[in-house]
Amino acid sequence: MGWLKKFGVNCAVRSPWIIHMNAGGCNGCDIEIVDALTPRHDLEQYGITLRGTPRQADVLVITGPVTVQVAERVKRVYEQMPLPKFVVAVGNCCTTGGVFQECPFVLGGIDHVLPVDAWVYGCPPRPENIVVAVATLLGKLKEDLIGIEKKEVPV
Amino acid sequence: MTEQYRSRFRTLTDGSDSPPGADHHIFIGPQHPWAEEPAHFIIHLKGERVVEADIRIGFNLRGIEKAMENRTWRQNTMLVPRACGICSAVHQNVYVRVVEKLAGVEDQISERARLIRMFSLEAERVHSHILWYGILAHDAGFDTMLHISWRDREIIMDIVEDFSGNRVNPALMLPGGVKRDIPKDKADKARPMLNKLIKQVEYHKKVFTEEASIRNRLENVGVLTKDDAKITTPNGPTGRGSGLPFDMRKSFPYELYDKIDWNLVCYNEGDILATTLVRIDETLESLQMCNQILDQLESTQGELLARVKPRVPEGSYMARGEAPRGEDIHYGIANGTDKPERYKIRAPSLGNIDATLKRMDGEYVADMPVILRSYDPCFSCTNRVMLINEVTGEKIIMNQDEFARKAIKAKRYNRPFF
Amino acid sequence: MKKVLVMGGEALKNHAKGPVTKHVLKQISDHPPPEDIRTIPRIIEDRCIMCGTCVKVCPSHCLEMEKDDKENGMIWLLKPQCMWCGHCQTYCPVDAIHIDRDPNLSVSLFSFNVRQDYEMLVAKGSYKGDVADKKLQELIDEGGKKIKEIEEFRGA
Repeated sequence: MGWLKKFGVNCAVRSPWIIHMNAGGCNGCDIEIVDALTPRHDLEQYGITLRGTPRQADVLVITGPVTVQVAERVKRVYEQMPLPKFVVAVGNCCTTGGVFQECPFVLGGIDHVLPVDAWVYGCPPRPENIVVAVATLLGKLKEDLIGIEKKEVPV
Repeated sequence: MTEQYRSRFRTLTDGSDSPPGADHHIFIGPQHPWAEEPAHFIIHLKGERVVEADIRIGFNLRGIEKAMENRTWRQNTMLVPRACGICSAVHQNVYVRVVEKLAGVEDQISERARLIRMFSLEAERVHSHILWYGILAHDAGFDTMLHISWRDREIIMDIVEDFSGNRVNPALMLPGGVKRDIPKDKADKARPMLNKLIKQVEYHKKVFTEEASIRNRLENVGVLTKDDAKITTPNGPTGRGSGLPFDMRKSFPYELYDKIDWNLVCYNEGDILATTLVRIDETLESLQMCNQILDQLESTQGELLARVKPRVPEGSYMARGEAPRGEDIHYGIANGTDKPERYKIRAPSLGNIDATLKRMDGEYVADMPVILRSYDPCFSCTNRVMLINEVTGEKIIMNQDEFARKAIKAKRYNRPFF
Repeated sequence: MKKVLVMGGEALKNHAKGPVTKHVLKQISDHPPPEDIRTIPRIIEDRCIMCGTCVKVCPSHCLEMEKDDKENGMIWLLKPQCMWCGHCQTYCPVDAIHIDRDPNLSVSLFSFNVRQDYEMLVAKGSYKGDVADKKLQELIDEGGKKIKEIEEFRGA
């Protein structure tokens, strides 16, 4: 069944479908992600479309410092996605907590909850950065995707 | 309204506490393609008609107010705009005015600094409104309009980036003035872009008023009459679409809004189309104001940044401003050190939720996306209180009324709060 | 029938063209962002007097100062935490910080391993003693509006 897996990976890399979730952010990164999908920086030319349901998505794009309440929901959305699946953390507060570090109800960084594949810096990142990050991620993924099994979710 | 008062801010999610007469319950959220942000709606239906709708907010609670007490006034200047990414400049402007009043330097702010602040505020209003009606068109199933309006929105984003260095968080304001100047060459570059955007927005208005497919989705849908609006007290464009002509820039002018020509936009119909047209007309007004500000900047000179000491003397002050979504209120207490004693933010979206839930009563379920979008939902500003029971780990998010009622009961019967 | 042939020809042509990714990456590199866009701070070591104002004023605690037993100190930048607000530039008493666009930076705007390049050394020098006093004196001689505030921050 090796060739089937290879075929699947090739398809996933050619046109990854993304799902977008806000984990308690300030909306700044969200509108930049939507901006990356609209005419000027058209993410759809790479075959990337925004899906509504996690069942159809390959890449989970997360923004915001993960708040206590939404952490469970993020994990649930991640579990519903089919393999192979990737996580892109957009923005500084999603990467390390950023400016919300000492806030009482914030976990600070998505890597406390999920395994992450790419980080995009900026507060908020420019749409160009998101486009470049996603485009580079695709090229990189193809090589180390073939041998992938199941990733561990940190406790 | 039912006979007995039902709070519409629910904590239960199974629909067991539903209003009488409802036979179906639709649960929306926290992750849902309709919304970018986590929020939970429960819509109670009878057949295809909505009986009532409830909301559960609080997924975005970060505890900004608590974090502000641990930081200095200077650091908080950059934390406050992150209360909401879209209306960041308004939050920063109101915060800065609180600090200036407390420090007693509000007379030293030069006219040029105030003009630059106003440009930042108006540019933000433009980009927020264009963003909103693009997404509204997307919710109504008119994706072409989403792409057209967001394409034209890039013009104002380019101007903001050119002037401030960042697209979404301009962060131009500081206690005592502004950070960057707008030099003449940049202003000259911006003027033709603004004029181009005015033409585009006029075209958007034509689409919304003349194109039948979008107009039929919005006209006579979710009508909030003036009487209902007076009970549920919406603010901002939601209220102005229902005939409540209140705008903080006219009622309590701050910065230099009383020295610039602009008109208050108000519609009386109260349906979604009226709110849309309020926002489009306001966009045109704001663009016209931007041009005026750039003209005035040429003849105004002045110091950009006045010195504000890091320690703020004791006192308290409340400031208000008109965000793109409505009225934004900040209240700060200083205790003489360089950190605030207490700081309270009341963001506009919270005041609009009740009116929007009222709007849904008796409507078709197919109109829900448009009605829910009508007040420009922004839950990142909205969530402020969470109570955690240390023993059981139970969490409750509540609004002010519930909190007060619980606290009074707990005191009267001498029992624990939970 | 003719239409089908034309469409088939278009499809074949598009296959031969190769991926669009290439063109767009080139287009982005051809149109860089404006000159004075805000990015991470870079400190000019010749001017920095190690007063620690930027560390105190940073809202996201991304600048850290490390002092040894003698007169020397280092300022570290935790790169993923910095939110490019430019507060350090505004309050720097000697104008030693630049947050303008750096051409080399555009590559490091995203990463696949956040722990790899977490910290970055931005400045090192002496914060007290003869060397620091001499530098401060030079800056005071040079003049400038903000220089009056230096003494206030000194020794923070």
